[in-house]
Amino acid sequence: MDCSEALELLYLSFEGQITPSQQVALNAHRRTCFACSTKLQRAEKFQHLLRKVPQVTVPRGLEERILAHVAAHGGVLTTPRPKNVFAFPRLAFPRLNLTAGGVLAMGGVLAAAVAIFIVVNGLISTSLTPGGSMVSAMVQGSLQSAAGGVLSGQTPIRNGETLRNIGKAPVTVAFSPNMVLRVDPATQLKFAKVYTDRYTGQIYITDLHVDRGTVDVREHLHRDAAPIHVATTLATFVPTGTIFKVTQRNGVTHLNVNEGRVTVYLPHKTFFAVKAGRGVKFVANGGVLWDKPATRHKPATRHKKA
Amino acid sequence: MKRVAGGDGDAFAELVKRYTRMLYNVAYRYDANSAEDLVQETFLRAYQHADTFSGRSKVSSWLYRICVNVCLTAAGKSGAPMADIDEVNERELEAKSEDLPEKAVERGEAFKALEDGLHSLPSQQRMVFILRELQGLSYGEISDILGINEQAARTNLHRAKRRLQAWLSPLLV
Repeated sequence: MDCSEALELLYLSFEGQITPSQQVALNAHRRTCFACSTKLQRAEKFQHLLRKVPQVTVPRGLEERILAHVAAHGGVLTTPRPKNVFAFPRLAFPRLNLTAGGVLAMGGVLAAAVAIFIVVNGLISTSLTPGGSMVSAMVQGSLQSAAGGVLSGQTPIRNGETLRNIGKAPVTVAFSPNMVLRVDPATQLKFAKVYTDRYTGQIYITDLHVDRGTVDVREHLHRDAAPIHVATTLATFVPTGTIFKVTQRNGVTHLNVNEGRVTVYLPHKTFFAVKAGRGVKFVANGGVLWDKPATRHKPATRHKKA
Repeated sequence: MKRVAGGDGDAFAELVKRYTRMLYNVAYRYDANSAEDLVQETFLRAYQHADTFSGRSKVSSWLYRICVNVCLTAAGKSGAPMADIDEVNERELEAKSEDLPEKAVERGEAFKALEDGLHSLPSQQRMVFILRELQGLSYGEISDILGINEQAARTNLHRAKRRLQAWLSPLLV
């Protein structure tokens, strides 16, 4: 037996697949061959190390982000709700022998209880946990709604609403201190899919479509909430704690990532990541063109005349 | 899975809850920087193709297969090493073992060194190693997931172990 065969037998022994005769041969080789004893000892230590490798801890909120991601890209999912938030307690009623008047009285009491429950539940739901197909934002400047009207200051933005910046200065739209958009002049955005979770107050902007113009996104969620999804006709961009800019002009989309990382989803279910400092251009025929990395210009050297 | 295929959000949420840890571990060992994106893409594909799950294999095996495809596809796109096992160069291995940072050796950061070594493996070897040594799957399951025969899975694993052992040799003295 040579040393490489001995090593193979040792690997087999780790998996419990060595036969008794092979084990005898391996032991004999180890007793006589000093050349590979160190190698075999290392293999054993390596195997010992592998048994101690710990499992990786899943990042906080990953399950929620997976559900939001699938809801945004895979279709409509019923978002799981906390159970028994406003559920009636289960009561065991004793058997009662009621007269007709008693039945009426009992019915009246039950109707009153249901009415009180509905009113109180409605009050709590609307006062503490506003939710539904809209998000609340602070607009610095003014945006014109395609449906008519002007949005400015603290205002709701409804699902499906199209907004334009027809002014000459950029407009800032802040959904929270950690999620801010800067909308450049001559830009049109459609909030194609937005909603607020009525129980958690968490906002979801799962499809912000840039029809034309430029939007600068500053998202510092740090994995604590569902990321914004920015889309054009050519690609969808999902950031992770990121500052990035999307420009849609003349049928071409341009992505610039200033900080963090943005995952780009193209039609036909392909995706890739763009890191900070990189820019990518997307053209109508499915082409993806990476910007040339910035090159440092060497200062011109002066040659002294001899 | 039938409920998931029917668009039942609660059933899908249960699937996510049950298998996120398992898939995240595979994706993290394969590519720590993109692990979250890889797991999200895996579940998206699982949701989109839930109706193709025939029930002949375990749900976990089916999800592993999707995850492996997502990882290998992503690696191919990002230009990560996709060398065939026949291209493994023993001299290159020896050279890489010398690159192991001495500081890591001094501090005994064996797991970190193992992680670094893992990323230097060709994609298929890395995946076989993860599934066998870190996830504890059988060769049968691995061959089913990766679409290779059991002998190829064994060969991949042995080469991966030899390579990693060479990488970690300063720590194993």
